[in-house]
Amino acid sequence: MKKKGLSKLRVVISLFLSVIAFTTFAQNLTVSGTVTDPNNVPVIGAAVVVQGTSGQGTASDYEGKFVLTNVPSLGSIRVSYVGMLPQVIQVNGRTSINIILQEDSKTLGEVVVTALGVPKQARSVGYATSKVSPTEIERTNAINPVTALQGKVAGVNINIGGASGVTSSSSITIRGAKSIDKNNSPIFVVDGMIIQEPITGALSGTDWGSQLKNLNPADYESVTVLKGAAATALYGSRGANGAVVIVSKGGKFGKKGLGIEASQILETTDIYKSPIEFQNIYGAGSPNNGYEGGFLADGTLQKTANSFGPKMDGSMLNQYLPNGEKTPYSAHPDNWKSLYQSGLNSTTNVAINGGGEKSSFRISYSYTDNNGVFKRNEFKRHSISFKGLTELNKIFSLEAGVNYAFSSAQNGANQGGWNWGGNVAMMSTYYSPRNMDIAAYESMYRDPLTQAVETTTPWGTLRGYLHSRDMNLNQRNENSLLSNMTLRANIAPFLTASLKGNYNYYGISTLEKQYGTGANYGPSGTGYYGRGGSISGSYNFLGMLQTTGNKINIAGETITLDAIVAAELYGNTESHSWSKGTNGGLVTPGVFAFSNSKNKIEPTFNYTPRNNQTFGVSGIINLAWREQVYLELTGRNDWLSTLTYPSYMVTGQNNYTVFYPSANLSWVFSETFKAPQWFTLGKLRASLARVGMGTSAYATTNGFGVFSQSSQYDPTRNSVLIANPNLGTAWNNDLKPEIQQSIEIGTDLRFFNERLTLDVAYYKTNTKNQIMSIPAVTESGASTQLINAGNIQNQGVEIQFEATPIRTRDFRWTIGSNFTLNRGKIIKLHDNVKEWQLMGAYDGGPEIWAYEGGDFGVITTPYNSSYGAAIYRFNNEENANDPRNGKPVITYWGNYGSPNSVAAYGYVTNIDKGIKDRVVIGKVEPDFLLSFSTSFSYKNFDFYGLIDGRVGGQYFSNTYKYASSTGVLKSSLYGRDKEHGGLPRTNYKGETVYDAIPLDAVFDEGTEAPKASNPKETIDVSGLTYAEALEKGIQPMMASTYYWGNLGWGMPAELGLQENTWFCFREMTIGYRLPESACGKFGANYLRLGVTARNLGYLLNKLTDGLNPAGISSNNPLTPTDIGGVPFARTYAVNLTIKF
Amino acid sequence: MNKIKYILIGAFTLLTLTGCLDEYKELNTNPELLGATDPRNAFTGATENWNNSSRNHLMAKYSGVMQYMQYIVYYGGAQEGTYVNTSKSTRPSPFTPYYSDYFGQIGLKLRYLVNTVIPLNAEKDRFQNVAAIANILETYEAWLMFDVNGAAPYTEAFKLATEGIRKPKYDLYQKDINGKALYKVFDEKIKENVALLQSAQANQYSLDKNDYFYGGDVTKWIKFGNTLRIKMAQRLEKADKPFYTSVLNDVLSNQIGIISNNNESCIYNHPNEYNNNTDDMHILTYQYCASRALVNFLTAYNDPRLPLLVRRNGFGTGNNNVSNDDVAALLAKYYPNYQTQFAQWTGRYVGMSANPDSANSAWSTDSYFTLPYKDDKGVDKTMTVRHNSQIESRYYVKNGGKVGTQITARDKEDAIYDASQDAISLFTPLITYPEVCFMMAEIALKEGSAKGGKDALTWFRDGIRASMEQYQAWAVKMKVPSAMNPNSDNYHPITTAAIDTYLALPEFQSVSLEKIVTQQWVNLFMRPEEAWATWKRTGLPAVKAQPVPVNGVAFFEAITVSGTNMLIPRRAALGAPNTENLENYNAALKDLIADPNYGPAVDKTEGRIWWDK
Repeated sequence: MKKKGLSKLRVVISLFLSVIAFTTFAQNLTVSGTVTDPNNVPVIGAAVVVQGTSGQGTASDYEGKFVLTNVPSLGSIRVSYVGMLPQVIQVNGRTSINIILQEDSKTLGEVVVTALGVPKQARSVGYATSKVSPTEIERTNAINPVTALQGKVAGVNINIGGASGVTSSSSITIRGAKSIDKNNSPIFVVDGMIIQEPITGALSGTDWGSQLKNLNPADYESVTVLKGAAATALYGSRGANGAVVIVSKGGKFGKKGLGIEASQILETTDIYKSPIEFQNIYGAGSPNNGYEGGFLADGTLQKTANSFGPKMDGSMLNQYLPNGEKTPYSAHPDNWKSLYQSGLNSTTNVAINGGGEKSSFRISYSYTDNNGVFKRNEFKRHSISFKGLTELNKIFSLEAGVNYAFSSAQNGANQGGWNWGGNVAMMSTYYSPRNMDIAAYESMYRDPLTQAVETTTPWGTLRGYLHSRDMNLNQRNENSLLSNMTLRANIAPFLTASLKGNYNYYGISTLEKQYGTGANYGPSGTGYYGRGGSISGSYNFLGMLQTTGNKINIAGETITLDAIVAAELYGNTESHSWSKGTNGGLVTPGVFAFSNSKNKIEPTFNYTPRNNQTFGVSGIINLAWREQVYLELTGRNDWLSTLTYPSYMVTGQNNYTVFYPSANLSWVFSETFKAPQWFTLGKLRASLARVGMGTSAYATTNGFGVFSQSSQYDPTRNSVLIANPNLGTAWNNDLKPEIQQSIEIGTDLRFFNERLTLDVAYYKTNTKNQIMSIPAVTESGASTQLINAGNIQNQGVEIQFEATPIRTRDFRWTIGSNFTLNRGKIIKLHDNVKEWQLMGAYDGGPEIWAYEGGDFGVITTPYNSSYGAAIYRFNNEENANDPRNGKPVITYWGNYGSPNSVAAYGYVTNIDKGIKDRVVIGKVEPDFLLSFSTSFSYKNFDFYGLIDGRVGGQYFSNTYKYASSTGVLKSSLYGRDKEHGGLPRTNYKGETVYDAIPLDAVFDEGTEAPKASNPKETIDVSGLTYAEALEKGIQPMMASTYYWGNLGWGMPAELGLQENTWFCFREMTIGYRLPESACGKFGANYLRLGVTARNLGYLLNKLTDGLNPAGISSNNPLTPTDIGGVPFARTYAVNLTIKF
Repeated sequence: MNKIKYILIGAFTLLTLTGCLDEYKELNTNPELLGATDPRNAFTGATENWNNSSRNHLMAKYSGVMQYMQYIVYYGGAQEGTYVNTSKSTRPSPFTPYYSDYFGQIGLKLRYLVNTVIPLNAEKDRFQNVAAIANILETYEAWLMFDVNGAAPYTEAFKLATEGIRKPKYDLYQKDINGKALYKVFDEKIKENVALLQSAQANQYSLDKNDYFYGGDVTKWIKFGNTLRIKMAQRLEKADKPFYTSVLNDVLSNQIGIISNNNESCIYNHPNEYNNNTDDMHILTYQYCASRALVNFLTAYNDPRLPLLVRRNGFGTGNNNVSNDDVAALLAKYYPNYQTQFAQWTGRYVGMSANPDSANSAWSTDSYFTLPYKDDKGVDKTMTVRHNSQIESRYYVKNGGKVGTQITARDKEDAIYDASQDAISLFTPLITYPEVCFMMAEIALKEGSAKGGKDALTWFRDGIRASMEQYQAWAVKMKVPSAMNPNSDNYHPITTAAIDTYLALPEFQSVSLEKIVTQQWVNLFMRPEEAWATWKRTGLPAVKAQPVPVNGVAFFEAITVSGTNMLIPRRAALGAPNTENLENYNAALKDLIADPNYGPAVDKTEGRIWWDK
């Protein structure tokens, strides 16, 4: 097994070595230098490219320095930067060249990093790429790099989530979701190693994030987003959802002494608004308490979390705090705040770099200590990263990189579907009334002497939450190691070869400690201690042979030809997971040791062997004509282990090889047509590509009837073997690769010396032959079948716009905007399957479906269920102008409460009318995304601001669903008193009060409603509007009864739908750079002080009830929903960077 | 493009890829999946958690048949929606696990065991007994499925992999797709396999511990098969009397016979760790109360099973909610003469009305009573006393309902009654000896002569004794305090003396169909589905406005809404299959609806299955 595994690796190496055998002696150099403007200010990000090649090049760093390897000693290099004249410099054998760029020029000479890590001139690329400045990512101070990309790239849809605290993942999709049942997030390629964010579903609970959180953004040299299949064709199946390519910083050649760079970020959080908007007028009470929600007969306040009670008037009342004392019955508008914290976060980075003529290195250390807005939620990370490059001799050079991180996260919030006692936002929205002084309760819920948690008050869930929050520990430590090594060979001026190996190790260990709620954290038999862990890993080997600068003469025209042949081998390593926990509680409370377990412990250990490998061979040909037309042709063949069948399945078809080509064309037409002076550059691009994909390991075995076997305890605790065949799926012996096909056309237009740039792209992607499991006829012996089917289409438009209205020596102002529009559609699913459930109903809520021929992701009411069913609306078929048409239909439900009862009228739903079908009430996908940014710099000051937003699409708020029936919401004030539009009503004391709801609805046929004068008698109110019925003298419904009875669990789903439209003032940064002369006084050559504010506020938020868009708890873009919530919080960070 | 492809593939395949496919196949082979296994282990898997494998099975039992058969009532008062109101458009849809279990697990895996696993085994001749037992169980489950659904794919079921049948046709209970009576197919299949077991060679492998029903005891399986044949035939007493008679005579002439003592009862014993987490299932502890019909009957004759099956209410200490002890203290303090003032409740065993209309009566708007009092400082206060008893939930849920390490539902009982979850294993009875006694009593009564060696009265009295012994044994097994914990203030185990006293009552010196079914109904407390079937056959227990027992006969409480009688559903609504097979499903519905008794539509669950005349 192992030997065979090595054989494939040998292929990759032999490819490399066989090439070396042909080596001729090369005279290539490594050239380094500095790019500055005429004022000796370093030009950061200038493109430095070897002339005559299709893209070999680099970019200058923040000091304006660059290093370019493999430069022919008699060749030339081209240096360019946006808004500056490019220069071509003859190398003439020099290894150190300093360049001063003059302003103003035609450009598009930037370098982009494309697939397989190959840098290319942007003008030659026939598909869309977007670069994000690493400094922009660094200053967001986000743990997850996805969060930092928000609003910065057209075509990328990010929904920032925070339901789990600091480690929460945000959902990210590039150009729409392409798969109905798999992870739709792009891959992250970190120095060649591929990482994908796992999906944390809407109900899953704590989201601990992925390995990405162990990366240090300060180490990034560049971040490039590759969007279409063309860009990612060469990542093979892994790149089908796009790629975010991250390259780490390296050292500097020719540096005298060591360069030291340090930065410190300090950040505070300002929690400024509750997760949902509360009312502060009414306290505890339920409308059915027998006293219409008011005080009970004995004058006491009802023990309830509902807030339909009497007005809070400051009188002294027992409000059921543990000490039983009377306290002022008054509003506590900020009572929710005590459940949150605003900590101080800190990140420290130190990096040392250096190098000589032949080698360079960079080593960095970073420490982050980040507290979330949830109490005792914390994330700490140490990360060390090293990157070194050395020339072994004239031919060979070696590059090595290591990124090691140790992180520790604790007490991530659990706002999933199944842990209500742990859901922090529910404590103030659902489990306590508005008069509750949560802070006071927190101070007394535990006996200071015995530590016992009180048991007498009605706040059981809250005390459980507080106990767990304050005492229990849920910790997750991670060890992450990303390593890579590259051997390069400059074989000839026109030929280079490289061999790269990556290895990724990811280890997780968890710790859980739970204390009992009794005296001294007991009693014996409660509490818990558990540990667990897992390790996993992956590898990637890439051998590449590259030839550049070949000239071909055809009919007197010179065509430049570059070509690459590559072989790649990647897969996972073995993995295992384990857990061990006390059984039956702890004997001695508070002693966390396995030896303190009451019953015998049965640890678990699971092992998964190496089970997934892909071998790919690819070729790329680049043709360039007159720096005007560039054509790239690629082809790749993958051999995918996941599509092979175990040898005992003799009829398995083993369609494990897949070939996929791509072509892209870039035409710089402004060059061809001799465009006027103001038309700086015009480029058209087009691409056509396919990608082939496999499936998950062992999937081809599904339904074959082989057995999984284990032992279990029989009724008398003997061990018995039990075996189950994996039947139930129709076995498919002919699974084929999935195919994704994309076309893209776009243009890049630049005017007025690049002071106005516009990039527009249109794309269409079809994903076909998806391997998915669809329902089958259970009675035939298979309830599901694994099939290759479907055609999901995404098409869209992306526009990136940037303008520089002012550009002088001291002042520069730019504005930019990104626009993203994607339309996902299911063209076809399957002959027998026309609909697909993306999310099932949760707790009486709606579902999410995809329909053939329809939008990808619509929110619907459940089929034939009275929970979440649509409101039945009045429709007079004979008279289209009937004013009642379209109004909700209601009926009389009954009277509730004793001794005094209240009448309840409620919605009639489709189900009540025998209409079983699902009703589409919304869609998940946004209409479009839009962001604006601006930056200006004046002398040593710089400023950056970003607003991002989305328009359209909906999500269902479970938070609203639950809170809406408890009377805590501000919106529930409507109709509860005269000031809020309440109608008159005679209460049980005979007084006239104004707390009846004005309801715009029509009574159902056959409804008998009770008379206000004598509730024992009823009146037929069929077809009357509620207002007409009131005039006829029916008992009015209290507003509180309306909310209590009609909203909440199982309510008509459309009532909880949120318009997911918002614009957020996402970021603002102000920086000041100390003049070099001042820096020099203390030996530094760079010092910048920056202040960054994030999430400053929502300019527009169409969510109802002041909900926070960041409360969405799923990072699956197809299943947005919230259960709980997060408060609105701004962060302010101060960032000091100094370089020596 | 193609050229590049060929050049690349050509170069690299030649060099290296020979052997690659084999290597990949090995990589993509899950080493933990076994190509072959001992058929006995597969038997354990196919029968695991028989008809009781998910939370939903239990919770649907509570809200369905246990309410129809008036063992329990919803704690907020009887609910109209439980029953059929013929004037409404929708009906309750009774849940039984048979259909989904047959196609998802039991039928699927037992047929695979018999048709594939055993034939492929090198020692297949030594697994004949295992195959026979598997066939009996598979037929049993299929019968249960047809018994409540009336139709299902059977002849063509599970033949996708072997015969490529994607859309199996539906058989009717009375006529399969070959035109034969399916019930006769079932009977023959059981008979054949019983004969196989009876004639088996000595070299047969015993299921032993892999058999969670009988521990591999072949004799008991033979008795089960024989008993099952009578039970299946008895259902058809009205629909096919000759068949019923012939099966009865055939079985009773079998030399090994039928289930004849509590040890031979067929009970599925769940694995020890099954349902250690009782989340949601513990609602039986607080969301349901015992019915008046049940409690009235048990109290009327001082039934020794009473304290084992029913818990005490809150008018005194020892209710299953510990905090109620405090309420009891308040009650005693502020209502010193509560014993006489609230005499209706102080017997401690008080059932809840199953009649939705009684929600307006003093019987049951709610399972709690709110009583006002002035405390020592003269402040007006109220106390809420639970006045309705609940059933003993321990038979269904470990420890009566204990959830993980959280504050528990069961916490509400008392710590001394809290056993280790490991020390309890749940069980699900299928066919028990007392049930057989009452079945035979009915048969003997109708025949007017001794059947199976005993006359009706003897079967009847034997059944009562066996039932009481059975519940005492089960209660001990499930750690019910009144049966096994001498520290309990309600320690009343069922002793022989107590049974003798009960049997000495004048009501039990004679036998009638009503008395038999009454006892059968009490006995089927843990097998309510069979009580439902008995009720369909006999119309017993009969309905009365006030369910007060008369002469040893129990009555159901009348179910009315605003004075209109509600109906108890009599069958399941045959579920729609995947759309691919809708055509066959619709054809089956057409056949079913052709019988006017079935009702005009599949969801009209007050309609009847063919045998239910």
